[in-house]
Amino acid sequence: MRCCKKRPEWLTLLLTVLLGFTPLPSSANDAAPSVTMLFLHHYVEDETVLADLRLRPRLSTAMLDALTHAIPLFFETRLRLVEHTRLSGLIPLQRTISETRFSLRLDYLPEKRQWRLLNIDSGRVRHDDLLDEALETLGTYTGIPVASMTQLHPGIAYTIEARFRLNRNRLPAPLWLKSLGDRNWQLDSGWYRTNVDPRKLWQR
Amino acid sequence: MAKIAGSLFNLLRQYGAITAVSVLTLVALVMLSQSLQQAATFAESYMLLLMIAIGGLVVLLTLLMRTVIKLWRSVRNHRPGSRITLRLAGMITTLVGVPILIIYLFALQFILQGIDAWFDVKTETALKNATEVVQLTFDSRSRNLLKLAREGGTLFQNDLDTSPAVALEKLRALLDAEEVSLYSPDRQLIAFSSASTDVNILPQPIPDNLFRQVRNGQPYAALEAREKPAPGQFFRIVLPVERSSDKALLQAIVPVPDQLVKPAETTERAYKEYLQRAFLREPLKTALTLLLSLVVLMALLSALLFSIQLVQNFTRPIRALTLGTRQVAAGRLKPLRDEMPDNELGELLRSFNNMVEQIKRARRTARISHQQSELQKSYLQTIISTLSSGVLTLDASGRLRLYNVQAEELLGVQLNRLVGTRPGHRLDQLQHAGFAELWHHLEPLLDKAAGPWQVQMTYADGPHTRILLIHGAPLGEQPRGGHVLVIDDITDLIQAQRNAAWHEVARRLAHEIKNPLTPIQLSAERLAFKLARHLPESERSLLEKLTQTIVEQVQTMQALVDAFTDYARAPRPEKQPVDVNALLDSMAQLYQRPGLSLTLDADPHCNNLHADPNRLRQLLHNLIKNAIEVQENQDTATVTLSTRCDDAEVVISVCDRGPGLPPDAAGWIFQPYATGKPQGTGLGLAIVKKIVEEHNGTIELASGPNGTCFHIQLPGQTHT
Repeated sequence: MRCCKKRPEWLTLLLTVLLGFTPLPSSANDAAPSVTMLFLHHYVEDETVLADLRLRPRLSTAMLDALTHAIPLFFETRLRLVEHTRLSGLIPLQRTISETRFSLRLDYLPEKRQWRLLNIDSGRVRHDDLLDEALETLGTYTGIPVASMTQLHPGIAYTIEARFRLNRNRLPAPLWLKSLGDRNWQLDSGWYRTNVDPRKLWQR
Repeated sequence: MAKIAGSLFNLLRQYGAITAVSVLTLVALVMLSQSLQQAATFAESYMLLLMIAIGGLVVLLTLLMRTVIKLWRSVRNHRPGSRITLRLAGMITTLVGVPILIIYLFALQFILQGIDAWFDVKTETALKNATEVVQLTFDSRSRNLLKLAREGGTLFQNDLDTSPAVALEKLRALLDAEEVSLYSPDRQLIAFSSASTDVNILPQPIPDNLFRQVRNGQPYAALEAREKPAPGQFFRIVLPVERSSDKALLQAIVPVPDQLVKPAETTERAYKEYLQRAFLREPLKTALTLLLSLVVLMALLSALLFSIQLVQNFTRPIRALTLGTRQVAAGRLKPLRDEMPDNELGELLRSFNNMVEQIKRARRTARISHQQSELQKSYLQTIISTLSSGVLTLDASGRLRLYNVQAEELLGVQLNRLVGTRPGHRLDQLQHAGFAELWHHLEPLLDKAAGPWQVQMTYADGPHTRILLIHGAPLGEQPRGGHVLVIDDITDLIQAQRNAAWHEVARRLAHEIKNPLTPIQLSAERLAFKLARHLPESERSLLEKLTQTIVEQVQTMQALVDAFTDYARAPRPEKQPVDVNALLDSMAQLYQRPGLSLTLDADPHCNNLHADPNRLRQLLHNLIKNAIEVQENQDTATVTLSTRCDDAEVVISVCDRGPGLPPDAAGWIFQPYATGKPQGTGLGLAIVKKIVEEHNGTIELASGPNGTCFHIQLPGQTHT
């Protein structure tokens, strides 16, 4: 699945009207960033529902340019288990049972000509000589605990949902302003869902 | 103290909101500027500050729009002080705004040029080369460390088999490492040596890919960074070492020497920052342009709001003064309650209040004077209305202003139709010939007279003719300030004067003429008697004829003198109850003769009348005699006597069927010596009128081609 977030034209227009600026330009020749969701699997291990997520982010030239200029990019990956019920059998209700977030920082070390991927939460660092390797690592999540089996009830529908996006709020301030109206800086997979059948999981 | 507190409160009320929002916006903009100066600062705080700044500006803009709309409405509604406020605010805004905009444009230019000046190829190349030198140094160091580790592994190979901990300790000392660890091919930790005294510390694990790489015979030596326990760099050396039993993996973590760390970090940081800034050059320009624009906008908006508020404060006394003036012009004399500033405008407000107080006093005095004037006017009107004289007042233009009832009655004209107009212009509408003639006589006098004047005129009001005496006088001291006309009906006075004159004439006639008449008559008769027998027949008859003529003329004069005597005599009427119908009946019986038809139409409701019967008889005698004489040329004279009685009066009518009287006869018929008969004395009807007046009655004449009637109204009917 290829997905990218829609460009917020209203924000560009608002800033244009309020501040009298010309619309912030976007590089027409630049390839738009995208995220391809390769798979989202789930399985049970030790009474825990685990998920494997694999996605392939594609960065825009503007992002790569920023990275090679020693500007770090921050990414956020979210995995959550959502319970789907109906109020009085009619009104659909959603409730997030659990959620796991990964905050990752990708930057380029020009002095070493290496790509560095840092898991901000765990402090783990990985260095790669090639960007593709770093991006593969960035898009690979294995054995992520989603929920305990005790949290799942047969007869209720659940989905495991995953989302990957560039955290633009952690861009340098001037770049954030530029990124507001630039589709080259809009990287968001949206929610990718897979259904979970608790009865099958229990049978295993 | 209270005054200071009040002033502070006013300042807060007027400028508090603007100041608070401006300061908040300014602080946000300053922090925004600070955040921009550090290019690597994350956008989280920037976004918040930008939103605060834009929010502040929106609030300021809203306040400005609100103020401008209020000001514009005030101008449209012509509120005092609004136009001057708008004009002054515009001037101040222009004076402040233009320099701000000029500074803005120059500052923007300088900033953009300054940013461009940061970057040049030499700096970039130098930084890049310096970084490469550092990198080469580190590479060299890591290679040296790898070589040293390899040599150490060979040197302490035996120890690694027998006492690996000791070997690792020696190796750690050799490499000056932070920690050295030895792993079996199956990744089991064999031994571990650390510089730390913490016994619980664990060696850093070898990453999977690195483990695989080294196990395949490719040693690893590189500079790495770490975040924990503290951010920093270290050399990681991983190489295979031979042991007798297996091929183990040796890992050494060597800290970077301090003499290398700082220069390397500085160089790398500088290069990174340069790269970052180079990339962020255009976004930074945009951000700084935005920031400067926001600052300028905030400055302009604040300046506008403050200037408008200042101008409004400045023009408040003017506004109060204008409102006060309007109030005064509308007649509401209220002093200004506004705060009096301690300057010339405050002095102006105080002077205005003094002026209002003086006007109030003057108005009070004027009101009292007006009330007194009204009282006098009312008093005068009362007097005028009770006057027997008619009074008219005319303004300077000759328009009728005031009149009294008596004037209306005297003139027989509805004067209310003429009020506010020039009577001379309304004569056609009035259709009153007498009034028109009167006014034609008066207009020249009104136009020319500069002082009091009077004129006597005969005024014809329908069948009635009055003699009016009109006094005129200008009003006021100025010329043509209006006129007052006082009209008196002097008809009765003139009549009385005439009567008195006639009485005098009659008295003299009786005295001077009547006395010689008898001797004249006797002398003529004696002359005829004595001379007749001495004359011849022809002359005797002439003598007798002449003496007869003398006697007849004397008798005629005697009759005339008797009539004058009767007129002149003014005995007091001896009133007694008189049966009017009986009296008329006796008079009718007295005159019955052939050729005369005298009828009596008596009202049976008539009672006795309190009157002098002899004088009434003389009255009736004169009227009947008159009636017969005017019909002497007719075959049959017709005279009708009638009475009509009610509770208040008796009306006696004597009518004939003669040729009638001229239309103006009512004006002179009752005058003495007024007669249409060749042999009449002209005193009969004068005596009739005199008798009527003696009985407080009135006589009216009604004459037409079919005859004439005299109607005598007499009061004093009794019921006994």
